[in-house]
Amino acid sequence: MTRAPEAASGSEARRALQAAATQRLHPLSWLFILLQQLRNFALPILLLLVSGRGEQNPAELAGLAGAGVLAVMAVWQYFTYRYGFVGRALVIRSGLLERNLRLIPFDRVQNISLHQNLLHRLFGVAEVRLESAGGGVGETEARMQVLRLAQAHALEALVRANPVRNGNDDEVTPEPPAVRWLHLPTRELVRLGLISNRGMLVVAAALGLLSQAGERVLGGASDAVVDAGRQGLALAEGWQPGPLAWTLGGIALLLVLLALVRLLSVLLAILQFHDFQLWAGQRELRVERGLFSRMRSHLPKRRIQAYSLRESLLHRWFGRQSLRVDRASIEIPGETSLRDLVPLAPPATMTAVLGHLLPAAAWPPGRWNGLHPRAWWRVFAPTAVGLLVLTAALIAWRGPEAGWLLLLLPVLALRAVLWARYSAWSLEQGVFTFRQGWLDRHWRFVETGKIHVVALRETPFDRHHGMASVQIDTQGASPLEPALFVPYLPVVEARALAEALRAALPHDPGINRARTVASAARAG
Amino acid sequence: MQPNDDAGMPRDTGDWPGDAPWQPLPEAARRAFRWSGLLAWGTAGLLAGPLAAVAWALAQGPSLALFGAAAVPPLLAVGLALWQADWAWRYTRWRLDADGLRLRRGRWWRQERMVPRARVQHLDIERGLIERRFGLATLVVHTAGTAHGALRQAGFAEAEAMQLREALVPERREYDDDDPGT
Repeated sequence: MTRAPEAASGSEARRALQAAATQRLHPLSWLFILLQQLRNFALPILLLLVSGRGEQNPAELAGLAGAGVLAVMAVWQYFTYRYGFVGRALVIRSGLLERNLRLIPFDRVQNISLHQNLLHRLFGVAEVRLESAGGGVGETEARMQVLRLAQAHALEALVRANPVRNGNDDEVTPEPPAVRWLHLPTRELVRLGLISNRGMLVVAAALGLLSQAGERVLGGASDAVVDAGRQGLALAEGWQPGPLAWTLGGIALLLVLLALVRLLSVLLAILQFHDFQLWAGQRELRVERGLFSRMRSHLPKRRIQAYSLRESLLHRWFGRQSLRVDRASIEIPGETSLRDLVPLAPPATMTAVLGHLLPAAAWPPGRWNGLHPRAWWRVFAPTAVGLLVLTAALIAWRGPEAGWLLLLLPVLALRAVLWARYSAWSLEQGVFTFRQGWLDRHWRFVETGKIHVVALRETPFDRHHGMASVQIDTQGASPLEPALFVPYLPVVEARALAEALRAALPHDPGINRARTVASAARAG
Repeated sequence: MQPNDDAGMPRDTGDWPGDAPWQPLPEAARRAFRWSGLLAWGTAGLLAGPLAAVAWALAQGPSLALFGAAAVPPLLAVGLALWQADWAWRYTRWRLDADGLRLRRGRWWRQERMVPRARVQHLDIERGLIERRFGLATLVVHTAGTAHGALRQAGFAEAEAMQLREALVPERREYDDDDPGT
C-alpha cells in the first residue's frame, strides 16, 4: 500500500529511492529465510516421509529437489534485498527480475516487533516485522529477516522516535522512561496455564491433524491405543471389580486425562509467556515474552480499539483477571499476538492498568444500567423449548424415563435469571461498557471515540416484550470475543442509548456545508 | 404519555418505518426491486418447475396434471418475488442528519443503522442493468468497522445517490487515530 507510485513520482524519484537503499541484511539471512520456508513445507514433507516409508518413492526425490530450489531462492532473496532511510521513512528494495520498491513512512507503522527464536539468539540476530494499519489478515508490511541485534534495536528506536504530530511539527517532547506495569513470574504462568486451558486447543488441533494424516498413521496409533485398552481391561477383569470400582476407575482415568491436558496448558503458557513484561511509556506500551523465541513488540496506546476483560470461575478462585485488546490491524492468531495485553493479573493491578489506559475516572464504571425485567425470560425460553423438544423426542424413542430430563428446567431458569441480573451496561466518561455472565464474567468496553457504526435492532420477539438491542461496531474486533451487542433492553432505553452513543461519536464539521449543498441541489 | 406494560416499562409507540424527515425510496425503486426479484426467484422457479413435474409423474403416473405441477413452483416464485420486493421497498427509509446517514430496514426484523460521516472510509455507487433502466443507483458506504464493513442500499434515485455521496465524503479523516486527539 505504501509502494512508491511509479508513474506519479517519476523515474528520478524512483532512482533516488533506490539509491537510498544501501544496507544489507545480516549475512546469515539466507539461512533463516530457508528455515522459514522449510517450516512451511515441514508438515507435508513429514507426512510424505511417514506415509511413503519403506518403498522407493519418487516423492522423496521431489522433496529433496524442492528443498534445493528453496535454498537457491533464499540466497537469491538475501542478495537482492536492500534497505535504507529517506527522511522519516524506510525504503526497502527487493527482487531483481521482479523488482519491488517500498516506502514505509514511520508514522504509518502500527507496530514494530522483534522476534528471536533459539537460533536467532545463538547468532545474535533478530527478525524485525513492521505492521501498518488496514493490511489484510496477518499481512506484514515488511518482514526483515534477519538483522544483527544491535541494528534491530537501532531500527526499532528510530521508528519509535517518531514525533507526535500535534499541530506544530517541530515540537518533539522528550519521552520519560518507560515504567514496568507488569511482570509475570513462573508461578503466575502456572496459574495462567491452569486457568486458560490452552492445552485443550492443542489436543483438538492434534486430533484434527491426525485424522488428516490418513489411515496409516491414525490406524497405527489407534491400534496401539486399542491394544493397550484391551490389555488394561483384561487386567481389570482379573481383579473381578464390582460396578463401583468400574465407575471409580473410569472417573479416575478421566481425571488423569484432564490433568494431563492442564499440564500441557501450563507448559504452553510458560513457553509463550515466560518472563512476560509489560512496559508503559508515555504514548505506547511494550510487551516482551517467550521462553525459546522471545518477542518484543510495541503498541501505541491510541491504537487500542476495544477492551475485553474476563473473569471466569477459575479466575475468581485464583483471584485473577485477564485483559485482551483489539488493535486496528488484524493479526494472525498466535503470531505476533499483542491481543493478550495483560494475560493474568489480580483485579487491583488490572484496575490500575485500565485507569492508566482509559480516560480519567472511567474505570471501574460507577453506575450500571440493567436489562429489561423480562430479559431472563428471553434467555430462558429458547433453551426451555429446546429441552422440551429433546425430551419429547427421547420419550417417543426410549420411553417415559427420559422425562427426568425436565428436571433441568429449573437449572436453565436459574441460569437465565442470574445472567440477566448480572448483565448491565454503562456509559460514563466517554467509555461504553457491557458486562455479562455470572459464573464466567465478561466486560467488553470501548471508548466512544473508537466506535464506528451504531445499530438499533428489534426482532418480533423484542417487540412483543417492548425490547430492542443495540449493536456497536468497532475496528479490528476479534471473532473470538463476544461482540459489543447489548440485547434485551427496554426499547425506550435502547433508543436513548443509541442516540447517546451516536452523539458521542466523532463529529465531522464539514457535514453542514455538504448538507446545504445537497439540499440546495434537491431544491434546484 | 406512553402506555406502560405489565413490567412497568413504557411501550414503544414509535412509528415505523417513519415519516418525514425519514425519506422513502422513489416509486421507481419498487418496480426495480420487482424486476430483480423476478429475475432471481423466477429463474429458481423455472428450474424447479420441471423437477416438480417429474416428481409428480413418479408419484402419480403421467397425466395432464403434470402441467399443473410444473406451474406451481414458478407461480410461487413470482408471488414471493413480488411480495418481497414490495416489502423491501415499503420498509426502507433513510435520513441524512447533522452527523451522517441513518438507514432503517425491515418489517419484522427491524434495524436502524447510524453511520457517522466522520467514520466513512469511502463510497461506491453501483448501477446494475435493471437499476440503469429505472434511473436508480446502489449506494455503498464503507466504514472501517468489523461487522458492518459496508452498508449497501439499492434503489436510490441516481441524483439522490450522487448527492448522498457528496454529502458523506468526510472532510477530515477522523477514523485515522494517528491524531492523538485534542
